[in-house]
Amino acid sequence: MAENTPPTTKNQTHLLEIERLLKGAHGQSLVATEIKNDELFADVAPVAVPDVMRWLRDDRSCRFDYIRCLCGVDYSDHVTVVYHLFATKTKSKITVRVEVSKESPAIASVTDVWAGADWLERETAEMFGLVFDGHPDPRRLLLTEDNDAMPLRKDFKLDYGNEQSKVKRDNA
Amino acid sequence: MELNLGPQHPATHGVLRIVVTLDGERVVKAVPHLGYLHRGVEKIVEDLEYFQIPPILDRMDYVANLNNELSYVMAVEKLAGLKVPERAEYVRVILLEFNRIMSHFAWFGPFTNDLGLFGTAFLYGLREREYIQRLFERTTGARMHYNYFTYGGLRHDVPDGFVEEASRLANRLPAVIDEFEYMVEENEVFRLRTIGIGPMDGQTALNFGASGPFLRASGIPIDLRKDEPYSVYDRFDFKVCSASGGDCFARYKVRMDEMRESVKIIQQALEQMPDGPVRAKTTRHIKLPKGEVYMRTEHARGEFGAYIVSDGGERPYRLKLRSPSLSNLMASCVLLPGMVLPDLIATVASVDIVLGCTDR
Amino acid sequence: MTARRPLFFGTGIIRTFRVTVKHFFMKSLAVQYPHERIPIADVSRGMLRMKGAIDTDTNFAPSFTEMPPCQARCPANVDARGYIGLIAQGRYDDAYELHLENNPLPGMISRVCPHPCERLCRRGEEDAPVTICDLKGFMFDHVSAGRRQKVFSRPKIRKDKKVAVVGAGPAGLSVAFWLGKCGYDVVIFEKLATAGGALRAAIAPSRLPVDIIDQEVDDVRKMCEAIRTNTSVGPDGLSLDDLFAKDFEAVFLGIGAHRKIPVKGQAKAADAPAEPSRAEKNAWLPAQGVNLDEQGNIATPDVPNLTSRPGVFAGGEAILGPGVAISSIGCARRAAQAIDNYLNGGPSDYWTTGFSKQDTIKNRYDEFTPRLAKAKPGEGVLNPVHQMTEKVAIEQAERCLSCMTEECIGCHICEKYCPPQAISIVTSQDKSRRIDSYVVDYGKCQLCETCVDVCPTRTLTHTPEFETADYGHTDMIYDKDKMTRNKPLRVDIYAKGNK
Repeated sequence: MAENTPPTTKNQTHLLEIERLLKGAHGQSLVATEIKNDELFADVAPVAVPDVMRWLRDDRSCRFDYIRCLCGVDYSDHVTVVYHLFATKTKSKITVRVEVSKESPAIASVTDVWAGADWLERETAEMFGLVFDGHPDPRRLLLTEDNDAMPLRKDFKLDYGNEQSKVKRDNA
Repeated sequence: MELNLGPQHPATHGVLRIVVTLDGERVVKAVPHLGYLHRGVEKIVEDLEYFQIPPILDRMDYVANLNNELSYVMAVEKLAGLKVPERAEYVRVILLEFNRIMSHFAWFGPFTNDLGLFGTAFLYGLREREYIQRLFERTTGARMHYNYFTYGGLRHDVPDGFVEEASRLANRLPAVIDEFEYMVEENEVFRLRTIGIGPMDGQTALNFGASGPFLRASGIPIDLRKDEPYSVYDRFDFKVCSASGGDCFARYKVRMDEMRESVKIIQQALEQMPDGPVRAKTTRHIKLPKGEVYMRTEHARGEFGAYIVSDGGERPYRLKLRSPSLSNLMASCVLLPGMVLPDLIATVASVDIVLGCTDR
Repeated sequence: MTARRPLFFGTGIIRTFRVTVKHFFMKSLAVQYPHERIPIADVSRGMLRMKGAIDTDTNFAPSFTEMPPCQARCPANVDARGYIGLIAQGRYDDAYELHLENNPLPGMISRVCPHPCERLCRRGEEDAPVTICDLKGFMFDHVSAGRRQKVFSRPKIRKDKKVAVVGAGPAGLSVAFWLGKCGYDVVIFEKLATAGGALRAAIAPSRLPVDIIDQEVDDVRKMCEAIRTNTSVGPDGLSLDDLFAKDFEAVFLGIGAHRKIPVKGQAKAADAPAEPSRAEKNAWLPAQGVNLDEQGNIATPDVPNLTSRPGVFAGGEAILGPGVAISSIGCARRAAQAIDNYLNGGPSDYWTTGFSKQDTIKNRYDEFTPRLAKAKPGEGVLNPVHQMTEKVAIEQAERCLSCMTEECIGCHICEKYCPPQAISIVTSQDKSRRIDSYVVDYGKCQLCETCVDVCPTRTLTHTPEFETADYGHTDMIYDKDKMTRNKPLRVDIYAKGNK
């Protein structure tokens, strides 16, 4: 879609270039790519995560040397892990999305690519019940060690209770 | 020897707990434990409508609240395609920069306190913060949790005399910052405990996802206000402050310089501020189109990101909040082994973390 | 790394000490108590207070000075909040009488109005706007013949002054109605064979049935001496001088804008004879002492609606240019007031003794509490046939939030939006639907201003009271009586430490 419309900005030209290179290097592990709102989105198969990520960091024209954000999103049948990457030299950015099935919630860790993924992966793991293979310190980050809940999954419902009526009842 | 530093400890600035293994006074291992202030913000907001979310975000980084709100409201605006009136943008910039200065003052005071300059600089830092807080109280009605930004602009216009009061305050600030420097910079205690303490090189900081003054102190001048200008920041003349040392002193110096630049931005914005409406024509109750957007802004502590995934409903399907404090703390924790214990305190204090933001 | 400069031991400590001494004499700041800070606060966000609640005995008298958005947006300022509140109680006759104060032609307007009011309806932010325009049509269809008779009757006290109204469009008919109500003898001159103006000529009968026009024209006829159709005022008929010669003391020109009427099928025919422009149509007026402006509309330079010739007034599209009928009616009301002032030397009693003055909003809402919970998806969808059953109409009218009444109506909106769920409201389920309890839990309240921002009636406000702490959780739960108190909630609690 994006190739049909002529690039309007320098940033967009660069993104198209990255998209082309990415397709050339990892065409078989890419599920889809799109350019929307001057941002590049790439859906990557989970098995290819270490290769693609290392390539994104090391390739000469990409150099995504900075991980901004790593988070999970629970869609009902799978969890998507989203990586927001940033290249400090070219100021370009890419969003990489990886679908992980809930039955075998394992995905390769990227801590050896960006050290900054460490705690973000720990948080994502505990919140969504994922396993990041190869993580050096796979403890829980924010939750307690004995807490097996996966709070950010959609089937986890918050129980607000009704303290107010309880207080009223106690008072009466 | 194992030492539990925190969670209730005056030097940890919140409920941070670091389990330190000591050999004499030298740190062998330092394991941070987080989550004492975890309130599940990201889960709570999934049950709230877009309009209800800013008050919750105020409670994340409670020292620089307006900066938290901005990322979120800009993400909503981007997804909904809302255009913010000019005046609202300018008021936002003015308040954001004041908020940044406030946050740095609130950092400066306790930082000197941790270094052993007990009392004097601490109270001066907080007093100067108080003056700005009064401006905020007059403008938003609240002293801390402002809840002032909303998608489409501001909740209400600034009061009469805002420009005069703000410019009076802004013109006064450079002298105050000078005085602070005068007060601590030549102080032996301050110098001995900051210069060369906790140095971090730029590549490591970058690799750890550090941002803000912490990253700029390591010699990497990345500032989102310049690199990816949002709001009306591209209309102002200011420079990105960075230092090469990467140690505690460099972090202090970057923040001091940054406040001066903030004052410059405020003065320019006050001059250019137009009249007009402050809220775009929009309803409170909105439904965002299906899609996702990651909006990042330069928070007082670094890059604050809000990642909204919308399923087309009136509530966010997922709202991820990227906390600058978390990444900066993670980066600083690799520095700790090998230090002596007082340097650990100085290093953690120089990072400027707010636990409400790291734990969410 | 910053280079370490050589320095003498003690320099920095002396510097710090100097700053300390310098600041020693400054006024201390951090120990000021909230009440000392308050004078500088333009907006304060302390504890909440309710100005009033409909079933609470409070000393607060609502001012009702601020118009609700629907009324403010309406070009004729029709009190939509008022008549919809009356419809909700089944008081269609009262609603009709209230409506006539600002717009005497609800039947016609309900069929043609683009209803800008609904676009601003506060309810639209929750689910869908109240269908104000359809309710207007429903009200017109259900008003009793007796009340119609009573409303369209000329007052017994006559002014014995004659007013000529030129043109029987919406503006002319409205002016005739209001002047008739004031006791003047009004004669309407209409060029065409039937009254109704552009509404009859330009609107398809499928949209605006002819019998509705006839009905409303007949109603207005009762207020006039006569409607003289086929009587032209202008170059080919009577002149203004003729009218003044016939003892008319004032003339109202509601002669429309001579709009081009597009007819389907033959639009834009190149060889069609050019329609005379507005300036050409109005060209006879300057000779009569009535000046035109650049667009060819009648100029009303200083006094609203008064033309350059004394005693000649104008209104509607003749001065506004082509527009919607409701704008003409709003303009006509101002013209009627101006004519009344001109002839009477001051406003007649009619303007001060209308229905809205006898039946206050507070009275009106006593029997009626709108409910948010009642809203169903799709409920606010426009009813295209303008035919509602009574049940649907009352349900629809109950959706009105009665904005800006400054009295709590128990609409549950603040409860719905409160982020920490600190507010809980219980409204009774029977017909009266009164607010059984309104509770704010200050153990949870964040003082975030969200409830104040969303409150449609503007009854919730923040006070400059910041001390929410108390000895137990139960004391921090505030009920309706505490919320509506006028006095400060906590008296001088801070002052103790200061004295």
